[in-house]
Amino acid sequence: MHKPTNTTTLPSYDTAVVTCASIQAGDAENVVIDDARLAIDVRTTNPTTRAKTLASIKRIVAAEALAGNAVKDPTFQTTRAFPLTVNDHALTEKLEESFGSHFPKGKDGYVADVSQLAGSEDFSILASAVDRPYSFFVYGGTAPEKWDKAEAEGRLMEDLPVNHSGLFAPVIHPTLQTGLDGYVVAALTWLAK
Amino acid sequence: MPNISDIATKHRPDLSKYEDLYKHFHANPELSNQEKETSARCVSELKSISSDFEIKTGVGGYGVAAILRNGSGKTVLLRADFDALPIEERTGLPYASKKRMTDADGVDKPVMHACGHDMHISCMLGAAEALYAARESWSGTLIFAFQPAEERGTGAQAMIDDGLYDPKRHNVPIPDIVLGAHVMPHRAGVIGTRRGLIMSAADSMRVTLHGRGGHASMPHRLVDPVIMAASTVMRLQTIVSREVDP
Repeated sequence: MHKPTNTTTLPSYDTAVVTCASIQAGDAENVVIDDARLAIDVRTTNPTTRAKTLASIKRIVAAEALAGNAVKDPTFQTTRAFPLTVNDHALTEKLEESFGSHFPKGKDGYVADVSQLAGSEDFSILASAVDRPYSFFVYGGTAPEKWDKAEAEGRLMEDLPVNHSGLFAPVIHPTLQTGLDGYVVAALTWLAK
Repeated sequence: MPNISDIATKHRPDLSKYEDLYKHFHANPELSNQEKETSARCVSELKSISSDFEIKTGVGGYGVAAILRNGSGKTVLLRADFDALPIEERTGLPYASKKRMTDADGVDKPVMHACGHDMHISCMLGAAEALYAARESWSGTLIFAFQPAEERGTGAQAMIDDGLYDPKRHNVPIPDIVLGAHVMPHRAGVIGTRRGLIMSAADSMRVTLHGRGGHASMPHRLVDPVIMAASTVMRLQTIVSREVDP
């Protein structure tokens, strides 16, 4: 049984983002409303900071409610929670070997230190729930000619639709083969005879 | 030393079949926890590949787990998520979605596979066909997990809570290794791994501050929640600016 090797590569600095994405209260100018509602989003990269940040939010909200003479304690409702995704080192090292042997190496093929993703995933729960190691990989879907044009114009950040955009449309080829081969090679890494 | 690359290349299936399947999924997206047809299609595709897959359905909602036992060895779980989003598709593609569904709050919404989950399941189904075809070249157990409701952050936990690995429930073997993947806006052809941290944690919440409303001319009779909220919004920024290690 392979237990996770929990040597996490966390940066020596820390990072957290707290966003109040929505504040809603009141309507007419001469009517003070009963309740004000906030929608808050938090991104963190280590479990300690995550816990501390969430605790700080609770503390600050409670303190502001107290300072404002609130008629009752504030109400909190968690709407989404995604864990950290920290790829197991030993597992990923083996994928480096098998992916490197199958996919062309280099910035347009297999990349062993792909950049951290902006979003979050609940995938790791399928592993951490049973204390098993995991690794999550990514593959590109932007049409090469679109990418090359945006790169040449210095507009990679502006011109390429990202996930959750109404314009997001992976090019079917070679994406399909890359993703398919990715799953196959990944599985064979531990199962091939 | 097995040549993994040769095995993968030799047994790669006919991609035109998976291209058609991808277009079908893309044109027929379903919202989180409503992935009924998507789930059913994954099951029928697996059955058409082989009757050797032990298929568990209804896991954590519409989740599917298919087990392929192939002798002794490690157990590897591969995962692909399959829910879509309440987003209007503007790609203009011939296989673009024109679908609408009622969301969990009863609101009618346009639906789109705006996160590439349709690509994930198409790739993983193709991989299932390849790995089945290649079964003389490997041994162990494969689990293909088709996961619902990733966008809500609840689907994986729902599969666990519904007894994915519980011998008395869905009885899927506990894997030794768990692998997943995501299509991203990198250049097509790029495939990347990363040791350690690859994605941050995300937490969202809704907070209600409770005041006492009434006539704006009588603040002494009221408790103004707008002031509380405004002060809270500003003060919350001090967590990152003054409490987190820069």
